Amino acid sequence: MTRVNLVHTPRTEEEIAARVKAIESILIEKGLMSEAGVDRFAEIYEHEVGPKLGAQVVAKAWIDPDFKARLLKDATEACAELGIGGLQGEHMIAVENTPAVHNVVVCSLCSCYPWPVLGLPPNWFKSMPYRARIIREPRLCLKEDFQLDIPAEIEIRVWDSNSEIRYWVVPQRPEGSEGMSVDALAGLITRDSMIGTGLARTA
Amino acid sequence: MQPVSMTCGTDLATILRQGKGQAAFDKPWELRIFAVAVAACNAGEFCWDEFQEALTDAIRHWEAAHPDFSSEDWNYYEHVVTALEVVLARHDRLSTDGLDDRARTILDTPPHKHHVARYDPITVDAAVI
Repeated sequence: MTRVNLVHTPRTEEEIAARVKAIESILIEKGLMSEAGVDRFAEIYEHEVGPKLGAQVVAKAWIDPDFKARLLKDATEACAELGIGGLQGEHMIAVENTPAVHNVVVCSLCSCYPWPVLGLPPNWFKSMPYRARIIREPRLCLKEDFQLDIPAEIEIRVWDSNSEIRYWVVPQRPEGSEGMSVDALAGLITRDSMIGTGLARTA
Repeated sequence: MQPVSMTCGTDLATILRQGKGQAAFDKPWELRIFAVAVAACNAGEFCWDEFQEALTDAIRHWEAAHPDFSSEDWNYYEHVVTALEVVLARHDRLSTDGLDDRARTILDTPPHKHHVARYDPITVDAAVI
């Protein structure tokens, strides 16, 4: 078996970019993948995958109580009803914000995140300071880092996404949004509101 | 888990205030290595859970080896590179030596090495009057 040294050695930007090119070119030469295939995945993850699908799911849940019940019972199944699913969405759990509870999601060890509904996580979600602080002092972290002041009477629950369970948040429907269409409602739902570091926009 | 200090919180606030970290990728190579990892997984070279485990290990090892690191030292995608090297090596698809040599060759061969800058047109197709 080939050994690879796990100990990190300092690399310059140039060095690491060259290493990435080296990995890609070797794998292409071995016929394991094509450059066009890598280009396609890069295109998908840079431009096509994002939190819009999650916003559609939440908007539907806001106006359809039966769907919301199914979503909270089994998010993977409920998303599949809408044709949404795939890699990193095999077992998703949606947790609902209520007047008494605010939910926040973190991956305490790395970056586990429900790609099919939220796209790829922002870099801050993967950063050590977020992973550390949101667990130790969630209320302060939300207030100081995200300017989200959760009233003391509301409980904050922090959920740990991992490779087996990926959590995401159903934010509360804002007041004044009665009668809005699903698409208009989806426009109120931000990525951060589905991570729990923000709220849905006001109508 | 790192002990939380004020520095830690300040780092996150700074990352967020500067608008850094809102994108999934900051640099082209970060997107590229991610796409290569997905392509390799899609080609059946390994399953994503195995990759995720290697990524978690890479992050844990790095953080243990750098107890006083700051957020400037931290780059998530460097760990993605490490994790991908580990799983590909485990399946005998890559070797450290081969990789080191190839990376060195790439560094020693700038893309425009043989392309000289010129200020004049290199071809003129004369107008016919």
